[in-house]
Amino acid sequence: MTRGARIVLGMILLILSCALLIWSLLPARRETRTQPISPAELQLPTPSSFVISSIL
Amino acid sequence: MNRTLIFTIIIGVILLAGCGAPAAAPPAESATESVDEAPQATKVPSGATEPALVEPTAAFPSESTPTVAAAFTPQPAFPERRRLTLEFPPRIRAGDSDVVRLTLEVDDLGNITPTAEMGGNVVTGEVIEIPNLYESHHVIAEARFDIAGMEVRPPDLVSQPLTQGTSATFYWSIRPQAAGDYRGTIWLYLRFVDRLNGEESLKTVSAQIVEVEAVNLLGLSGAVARTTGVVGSIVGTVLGFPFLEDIVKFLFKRRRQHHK
Repeated sequence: MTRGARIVLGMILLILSCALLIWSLLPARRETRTQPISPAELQLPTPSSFVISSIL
Repeated sequence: MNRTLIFTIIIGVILLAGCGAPAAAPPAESATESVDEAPQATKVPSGATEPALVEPTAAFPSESTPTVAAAFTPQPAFPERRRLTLEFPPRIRAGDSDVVRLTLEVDDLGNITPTAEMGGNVVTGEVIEIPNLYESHHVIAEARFDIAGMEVRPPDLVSQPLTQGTSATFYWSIRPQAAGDYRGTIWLYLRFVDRLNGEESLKTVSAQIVEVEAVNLLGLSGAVARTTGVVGSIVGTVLGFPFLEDIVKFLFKRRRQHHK
């Protein structure tokens, strides 16, 4: 193997390896989601609440 | 003639009203009897029938009013505002692990509406008014992450007590074994335990669908790609190093001198 071919092969290998390293070490993008919750969904589910709604 | 006619009509109306009044009264009396039933009838002497029937009508409102008032007793309410925040990685390398976080937090900013950014789009949420139940109930926030085909730790229901002014945060560690699209649901419940009688009630607060895409590079998972990258970088550096021959020759020469 000539000196030039070895250097070219080494550079290609180095570039590919660096690409693999960058891809594998890149931090994952994170998504933040804030969900709106209506107050009715957080009411205590008691029978008295049903009584109120039925009377009203 | 006319006066006689008018007088007759007036008398007729009075008579009709007089006959109609007793006819309207019995339903009211019968209603009171059905409510008060036998105990009132036993107290009444046999000679005074009509006053005895009037008394129960007075007792009816006094008995029915407390039940109506109890029905309208206001429910306890949470004194602070809260919002629910979910943070997760929409794309993850196959074989790698990441963290999903769910927070039911106190909205310290009061009336300020919480916002979130999703893929460049700004999503505006609503301010949440949570009913106050801290005084009368133990409040426990419970959460579970259901997703098929992916490793999730912890896989079961996770519980945290929710006290006034504090947040409840849940963490899950996820790891997809293979590339693909995974779709799951994050459930959040509030469990209310009555401080007096221990009665429990469960409320589903949120069920959010989470989509996670597991990817690989040329069939290599994250761990394999890292290992290959490290080894390839070393080999590539050594092979591509311009003075490699000189270095190898120098090392061999020094080694020979050392042996002599």
